[in-house]
Amino acid sequence: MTNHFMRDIGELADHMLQVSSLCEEAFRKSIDSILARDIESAREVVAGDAAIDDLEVMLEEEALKILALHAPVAGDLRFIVAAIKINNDLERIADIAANIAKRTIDLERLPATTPPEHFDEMAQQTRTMVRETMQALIHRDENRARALMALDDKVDDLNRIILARIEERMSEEPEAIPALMRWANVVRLVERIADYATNIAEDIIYMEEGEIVRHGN
Amino acid sequence: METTLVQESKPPKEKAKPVSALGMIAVDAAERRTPADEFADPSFEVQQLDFFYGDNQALTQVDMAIPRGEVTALIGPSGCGKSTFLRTLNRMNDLVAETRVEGKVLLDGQDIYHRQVDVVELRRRVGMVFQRPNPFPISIYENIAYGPRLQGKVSKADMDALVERCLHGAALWDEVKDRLHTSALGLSGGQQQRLCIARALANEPEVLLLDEPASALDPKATARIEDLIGQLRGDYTIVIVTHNMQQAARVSDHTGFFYKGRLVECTPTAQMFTRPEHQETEDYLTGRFG
Repeated sequence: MTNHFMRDIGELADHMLQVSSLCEEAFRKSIDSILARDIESAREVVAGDAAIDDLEVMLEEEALKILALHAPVAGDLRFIVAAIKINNDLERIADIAANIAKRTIDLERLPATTPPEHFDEMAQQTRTMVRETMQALIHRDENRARALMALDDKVDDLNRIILARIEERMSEEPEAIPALMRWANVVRLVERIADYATNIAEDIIYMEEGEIVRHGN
Repeated sequence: METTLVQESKPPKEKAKPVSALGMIAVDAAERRTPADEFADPSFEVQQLDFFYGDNQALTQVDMAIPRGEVTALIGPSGCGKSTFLRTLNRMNDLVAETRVEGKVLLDGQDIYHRQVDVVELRRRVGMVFQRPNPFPISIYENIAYGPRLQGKVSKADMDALVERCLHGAALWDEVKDRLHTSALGLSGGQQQRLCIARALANEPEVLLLDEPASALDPKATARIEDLIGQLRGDYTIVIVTHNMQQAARVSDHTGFFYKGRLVECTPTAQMFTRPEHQETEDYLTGRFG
C-alpha cells in the first residue's frame, strides 16, 4: 500500500461523499419545492444539476485512473468498482430530482391542484431511504444498507396506490387532468429514486462483503 | 497407469504419450479432467507438512492439493516459505544441509519422501525452472538433448525431432531454428529462460515447478513466459512462485497465500483477488501488511 494509492483512494471517497451530499440535498429540495409550489427553489435544483454532472465525470476519471495506475485487488478493487456504479446512480438521482423540479415549474403554469393522497408519505419514505443510503455509504455499513432495502417495498406499494387514486381523480376532475398527468410523472420519478437508493445499498453490500445481492441473489 | 517413484516396485513402463503437431505431449481426451475431478484426483496432495532448516521451522502443517493440469500460484511476503514449499515438491531441499521434513507429499498418491523413492526419477517427473536463467554453456541443441541423452532412451535419429518439439513447446523454435548449434549463452535473458523450460520439457515431466521464472526479465520477455504458461496449461501441472501478484492473477487458476510458514488459504485465483477469505490475505493483497 503506497502513500500515492492511499491519497488517491481517499480523494475518491471524499468526492463520492460530496456528490452524495449534493444529490440528497437536490432530492430534498425538489420535494419541498413541489409541495410548496416554490418555483425559485425548483429553478435552483435544475441549475444545480450541471455541477453534479461535472463531479460525476471527475469522479469516474479518478476511479479509472486508480484502476489503471494501482491495479487494486480484493477490498480495494471492490471499493473502486462499487464507487463507479454508485457514482452513476447518484448522478441519476440528481437528474431525477431536476426532472421533479421541472414538473414543479410546469405545474405552476396550470390551475392549482391538491397533491395526490399519500404522496407526502411516499416522498418521506423515499427521503428516508436516500438519507439512510448516504449514511450507509459514509460509514460503509452493510447492515444499514440491508435494512433500508426493505423500505423499497413500502415505496412500491404507495406508488401503486397513488397512481390508482390519480386515475380515479382524472375521472372525477377532468379539468385537473393536465396537472394530474404531471403528478403521475412525479410519483413515478420518486419511485425510481427509491430504486436507485436500493441499487446503491446493493453496491455497498458488495463493497463490504464481496457478495452480489442483485436480482434476489 | 502412473510411473512409480519407488525403485523396487516399478511397474511396466507406460507407453510414451503421443506428441501433438505443436510439439506438446498430448493428453488423451479421456484423460482430461473436469475441475471437480482434478480436486478428486490432484497431482499433488500435501498433508501436514513441516519443514525445518536445522532448528528453524520454515513450514508448519501445510495441507494442500494441487490440481492436475492447472496452474497454481504461490504468493506471500519474502521468507514466508513459498519457495521452500515449492522445493519440497521435487525434493530439491535434499541438497540443503541439515534440513528435515515431516508429513507427507503425495505425487499421484505416492509419498515422494518414502526412503525407496528414486529421486532422479522424481525430478524427471517434476521439472523445475529457476529465477535466473541457467542454460548450460553449450549449444542450444545440446541444452535440450542433455537430459534425454543421459537417460539414454532417445536414439540419435529421434533426437532432432525431440529438440524441435521441445523448442516448439517452449515457443522458442522460430527464434532459434537457424542457430541451434550456437552457444545458448548468446540468447537474450527471456530466450534463455524459455530454453530452460524447453530443457525441462525434454525430460517429459508431468509437473513443472517455476520459481519466480520472470522476475529477472523485462516486460516483453515476461509476457512471453506468461503466454507460454498458458500454452503449457492442460498438458502439465504447473506450480509457480511469484512476487508479482498481478502475474499470479493473470496466469493461475488457483492461488495459495503463505505467511510465516503456513498456508493461510488456497482458493480459485479469481476469488482470492476479489474476495479473499482471510483478513491476512486481504491485508497482503492490498499492501496493508505489517
